[in-house]
Amino acid sequence: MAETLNREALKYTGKVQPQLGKIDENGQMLYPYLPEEDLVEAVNLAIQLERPLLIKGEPGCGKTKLARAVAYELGLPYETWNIKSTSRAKDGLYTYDAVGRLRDAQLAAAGRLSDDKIQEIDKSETYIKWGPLGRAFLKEQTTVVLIDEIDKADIDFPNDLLLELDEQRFVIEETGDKIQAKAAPIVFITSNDEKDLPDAFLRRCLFHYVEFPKRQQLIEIVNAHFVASPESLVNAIIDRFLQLREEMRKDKGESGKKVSTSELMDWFRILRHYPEDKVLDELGKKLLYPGVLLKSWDDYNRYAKQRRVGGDL
Amino acid sequence: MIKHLSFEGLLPITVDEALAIVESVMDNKRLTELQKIVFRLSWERKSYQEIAQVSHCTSGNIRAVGAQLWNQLSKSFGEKVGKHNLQSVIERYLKSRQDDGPPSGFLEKPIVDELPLIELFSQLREAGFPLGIGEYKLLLEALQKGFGTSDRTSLYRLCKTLWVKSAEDKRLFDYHFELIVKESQETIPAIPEKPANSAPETEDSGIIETAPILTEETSRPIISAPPPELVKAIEDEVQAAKAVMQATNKYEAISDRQFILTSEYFPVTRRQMKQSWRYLRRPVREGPPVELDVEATVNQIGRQGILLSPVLVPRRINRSQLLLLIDRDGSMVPFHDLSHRLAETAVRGGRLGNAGIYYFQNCPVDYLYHDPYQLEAEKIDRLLAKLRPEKSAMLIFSDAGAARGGYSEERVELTAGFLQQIKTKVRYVAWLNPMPESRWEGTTAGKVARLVPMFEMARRGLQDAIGLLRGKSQSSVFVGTE
Repeated sequence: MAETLNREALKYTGKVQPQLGKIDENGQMLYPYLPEEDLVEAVNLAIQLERPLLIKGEPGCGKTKLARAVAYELGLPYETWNIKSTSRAKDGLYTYDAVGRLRDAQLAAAGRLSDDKIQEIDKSETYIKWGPLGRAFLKEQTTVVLIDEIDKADIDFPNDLLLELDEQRFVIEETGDKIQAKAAPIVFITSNDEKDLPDAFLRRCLFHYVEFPKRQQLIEIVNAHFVASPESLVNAIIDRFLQLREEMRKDKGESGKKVSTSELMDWFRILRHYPEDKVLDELGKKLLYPGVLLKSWDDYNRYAKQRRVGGDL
Repeated sequence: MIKHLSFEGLLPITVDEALAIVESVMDNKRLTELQKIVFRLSWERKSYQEIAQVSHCTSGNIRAVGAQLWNQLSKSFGEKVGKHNLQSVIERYLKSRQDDGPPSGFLEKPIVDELPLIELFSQLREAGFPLGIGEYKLLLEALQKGFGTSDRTSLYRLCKTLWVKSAEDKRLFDYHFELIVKESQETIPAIPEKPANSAPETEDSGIIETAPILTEETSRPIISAPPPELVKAIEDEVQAAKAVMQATNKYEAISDRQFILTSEYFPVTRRQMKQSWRYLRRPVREGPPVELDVEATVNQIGRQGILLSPVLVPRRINRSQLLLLIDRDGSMVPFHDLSHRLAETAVRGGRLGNAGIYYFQNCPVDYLYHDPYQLEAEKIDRLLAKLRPEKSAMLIFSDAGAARGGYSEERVELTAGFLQQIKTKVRYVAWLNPMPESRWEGTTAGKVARLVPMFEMARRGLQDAIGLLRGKSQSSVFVGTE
């Protein structure tokens, strides 16, 4: 009961930002995150309804960063589970060191283990290593869990997680222990849409598509990351960036890879080190440091030089 | 639509409300399914005999469940509850609660006396959204918690978050929402204590705050409804395409004779094909041995007397459903042997029973054929209905007009139409072209290659295509038509 009360008090606003240069417990830099209003609402909905929130959107528009930001604002512990193509649902809960146990059993049989060690063999938790979701279930406090890029895994992967996400419990098959979440975690799932997710899984998730930020938002994002940047410089860089993005959109359509927010951040980071007037001057002629923005030979050929051609015409 | 129930006006209450009340009185203890059935049917004044028939239980069994249920209820309500006074007890209970004012639990929450947005919900269901009662209840729960109640935009966002699961779904959703909710705009749930445009409260003081990011103007605009002609347009297109198809057919039939049949052109050997196929369809255990086979390890210890090394096996990987579409006749005549070989290796190499091979000419329209001579037809719709979208992959083997060269707008449109049609049913589509890539440019094939990933029929191309069908490639997101 205390837990549900607690849950209702959890409300994400998207307005509490870490100070620049702040570092989290894992040594990662914390960055400000400026969500759209409807994303904030979706997050709150997911928290209150205790459903996982599935986030899709272009690569580099901040899907992954959201979970960290929510954990920061609400002051909750944070767990990431980075999915790989070989990931299995169980890995996120626990892994059982059967080999270790076998080895210890052998050593014990040979009389080569100390007494404390032998006692440990009988404890069920000795050979269990918890995964991110498993840890979140064990914590007393509500935990923010990010399941990153779920589409990388096997097609069956999401379905294997249904029970765990739905009923917040799982069974350790090797020992028969039942784990029930002490506090329902807040789960964020990101997908790059490389594979479709099964309907049964989708049904249980809330869904939000992160749109590419509008111009005004981009300016705010840049300003939040790089304080005290000259306004004219910010405007010029964002204009050039949006222009490039628009060109790419025309050429490749909606689904092609376009320059993203994260690339803009990288680009800005570099351009900031150069004198403002030089940057302003050069931007009109060509794309500075195109390698930061253009990631394929094709793009590089097409867009890095296009501007000059356009100027000649 | 949502309000605090005034029970006097609303009696008799429905059985669902009665159940909710019962559960709230019983400290939110859930009734079992069987108990619920007994409760519902008793509410409708059915006999135990009838209940037993409906629930496929013996009537003795039902009697026992009933007795236990009434016993529980009697305790909770503090008066004797039985099969026959069920309704009156609950009505009395409600009246008494109302006189006391709503003190706790269930009565504090607004009760939905009619189902809000049920029309939108059913429309979306009809449109093929994977929505169930659970999703609808989720909406009610969210509304009760105060989400989406301030204005139309927030309601829109609420429904979108709950029910829309992909960018494609969103288009459909926008359309239906616009259609349904506009008409009944005044009756949108307006909970009085929630002011319109309620800004998110910021209770956490003492922490750095930045200004609100979004202004009213930047919040998502309601996209004007996609015209219903969308659907019609496709139909028209299909019909137009049909006519065109017949025309192209004639043309192709005549020009058949210009081709000379060359037999031995095999850019991919039979063995290579087999290997490639196996890559797609031998998915039982694949990859590096990383999984511990406990049983085998224990057996090994039994044999060797000591644990030397654990036995590892590769992980189990999913198998997929493949559909192979082969273009026949016309410009494909020189490649008949090649396509035959492709089909043959596909069938033989695979342990996968449900691989299907179908034939068409130029472009699949309406029908696909089971046999290369195109005698036994099957409607594409029917074929697609059998597919499981999460598993199916399609490989199309056709020159897409590159063999003859030239550009046919009709053929592109036809192909695009077909791709559009299969889009929802097939996850991965790859196209194998027997003509070298250098010959695609400027022909129909060049255009088609923009709609769907196209590979040259060579070892590398075949491997890439199969890789894509397995969902391994970046570009596997099937674009379809604009």
